[in-house]
Amino acid sequence: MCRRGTAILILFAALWTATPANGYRFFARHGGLYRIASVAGAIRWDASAFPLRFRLLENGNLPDIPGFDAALWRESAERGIRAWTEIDTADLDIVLEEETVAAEQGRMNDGINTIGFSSLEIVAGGPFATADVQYTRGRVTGCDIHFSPDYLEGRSLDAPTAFEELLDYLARTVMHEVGHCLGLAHSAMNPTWLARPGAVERPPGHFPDGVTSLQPHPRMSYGTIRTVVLEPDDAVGASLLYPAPGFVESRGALTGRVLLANGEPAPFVYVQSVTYAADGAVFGAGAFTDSWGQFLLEGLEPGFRHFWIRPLHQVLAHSFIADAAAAGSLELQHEQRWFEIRRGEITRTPDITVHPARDRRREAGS
Amino acid sequence: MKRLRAGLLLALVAFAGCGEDAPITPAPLPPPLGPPPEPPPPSPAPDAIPVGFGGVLPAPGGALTLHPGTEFVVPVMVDGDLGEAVDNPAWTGIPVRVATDAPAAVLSVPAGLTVAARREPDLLRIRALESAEVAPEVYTVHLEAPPEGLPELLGLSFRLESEPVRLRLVDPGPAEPADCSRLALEPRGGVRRGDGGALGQNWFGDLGRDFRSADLVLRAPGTEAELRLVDAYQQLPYGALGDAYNIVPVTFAHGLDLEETDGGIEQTLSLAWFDELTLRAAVPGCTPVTLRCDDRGRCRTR
Repeated sequence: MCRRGTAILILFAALWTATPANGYRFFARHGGLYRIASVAGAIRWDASAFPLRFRLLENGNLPDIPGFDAALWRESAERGIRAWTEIDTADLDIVLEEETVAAEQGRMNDGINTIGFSSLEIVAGGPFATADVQYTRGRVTGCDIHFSPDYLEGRSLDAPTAFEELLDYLARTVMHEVGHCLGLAHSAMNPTWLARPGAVERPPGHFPDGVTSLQPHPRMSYGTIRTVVLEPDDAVGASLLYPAPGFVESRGALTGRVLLANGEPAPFVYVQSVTYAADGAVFGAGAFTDSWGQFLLEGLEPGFRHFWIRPLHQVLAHSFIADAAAAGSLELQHEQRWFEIRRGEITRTPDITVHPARDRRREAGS
Repeated sequence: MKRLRAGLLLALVAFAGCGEDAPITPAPLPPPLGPPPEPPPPSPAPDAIPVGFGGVLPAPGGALTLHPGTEFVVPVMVDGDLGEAVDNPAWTGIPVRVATDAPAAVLSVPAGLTVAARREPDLLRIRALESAEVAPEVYTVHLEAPPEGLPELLGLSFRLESEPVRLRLVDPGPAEPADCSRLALEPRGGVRRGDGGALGQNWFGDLGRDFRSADLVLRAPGTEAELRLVDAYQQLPYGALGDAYNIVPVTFAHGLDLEETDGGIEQTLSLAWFDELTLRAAVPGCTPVTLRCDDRGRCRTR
């Protein structure tokens, strides 16, 4: 008996009204993909695999939308890829080649990375998109991104900007799925809405008074995506996996342990950095605690930093949710702490104790 | 309308295959003169399954930090799914030795462990002794094969990854007591009212129709401050989805600002809340301060 140690990860997203999106989190090399791992234990492409080359599938399955054609689909896919290659702190070269691949050949483990409207059964029958990540011994060896031919089902073209929005929608989904291909798993949404300066994004009356724009959730989270732009959490995750020269040396890290009030470890709690710049505060990179309440948040800019410690919201994306619920780490009061981050060092925090939250609506109704 | 509805089905398919390669044994050499040499360490087969450390370890070369008296738990794992092999009665697990260059007065590690490779990971607990002195030295902990070598079990062979866990002891923090008179948590300026907009109503139902907001300022001596959002939680209006959604704070942030002040911090949170809000600030050694803002927009500190 022997085994080859090859595996295929299928990330399968079913979409209703939102583009798939749930800080950075990696696929763990050891002990099961969805265990919490730092970048040292993450699955990633070998440096020799770059530039990563993708090809589009041939277009027999292209959705039948008036005005939508192969050229526009290519443009959307290129935009989704470009979001990753434009990260300053990451060394990522990804090419969408001119050559295409027959739709029926857009399968796993054939040595060609593909993006396309697939004829595979796995995405049939609904607005689904998947990233099939192939890996062996800690190295990604291939990735195929499949869109269902029904992916654009039900999307109206009535509004004046609907067609542009449709192309944007495809680009955003390519961006998210390429993130999986690079080795990024679903991460966590921001802990709360955070207003930020910027152009008015929505009609009057949509946002709360005094708010014209909110910081979007990380693109690898399950929050709704509205632009083809990555957030700090996504960029740091990709930069840790594929660092540009000098990135690792220029950053520091935070490690510690999060405990429940009874002294037991708090697993799958999120520790997120907040960064401050001239245009206001932004939720930055974050990391989950592991099964023993331990975390290691890497890629942080040196300086005195603010951290937001809290449970997961929007929990459907996470395979470890049952363990988190059983441990009592889903309904917690938010905690904030401040720590000094030093270049090239790992700051150790005192143990952080978290406390259960009160569900006041349940109390009121009981 | 439920604004965010996304589901995910995750599947992992692992494939195992068998190679046909057989080890090639060279012809034996004549015995050399003199004492026999030490036998070479057994070399693992090329397709030997790696066994190594997982979890939240720093990148190779980096050293994790520990306070004296604290523990770091490292899962020891095999690289891949062993499938049904671990359920076979003949599966005894992989015995490994644990070695460290740290003095016994600094780190406590077990002499060895057996990697059972079942659903629950096998854990290596590394403890920094309470009495250990903080020093700049970086210590390593690594796995070694037992003298008889790693076993071959059910046709599977294994090899140990060479990367050790690196650890350094650091000081847990300043021993000086904080100046508790400098701990304060209070609103700056008045409390404002606003309309939560369509987004507020989508997320928080009736609560989201209007909100209160204020600039809440935490001033703390030293950097060991703790701030907790105590009492602003509601179940999100996703009743139909059952317990899949957890409770969240019924607040949002208009802005955040952080300044360092004479060895301490001043943190401003421009928060909006939809009915009531309670924040609790603490610094080790000081009586905590609680700020409570009610649904009429009145804030009180105690």
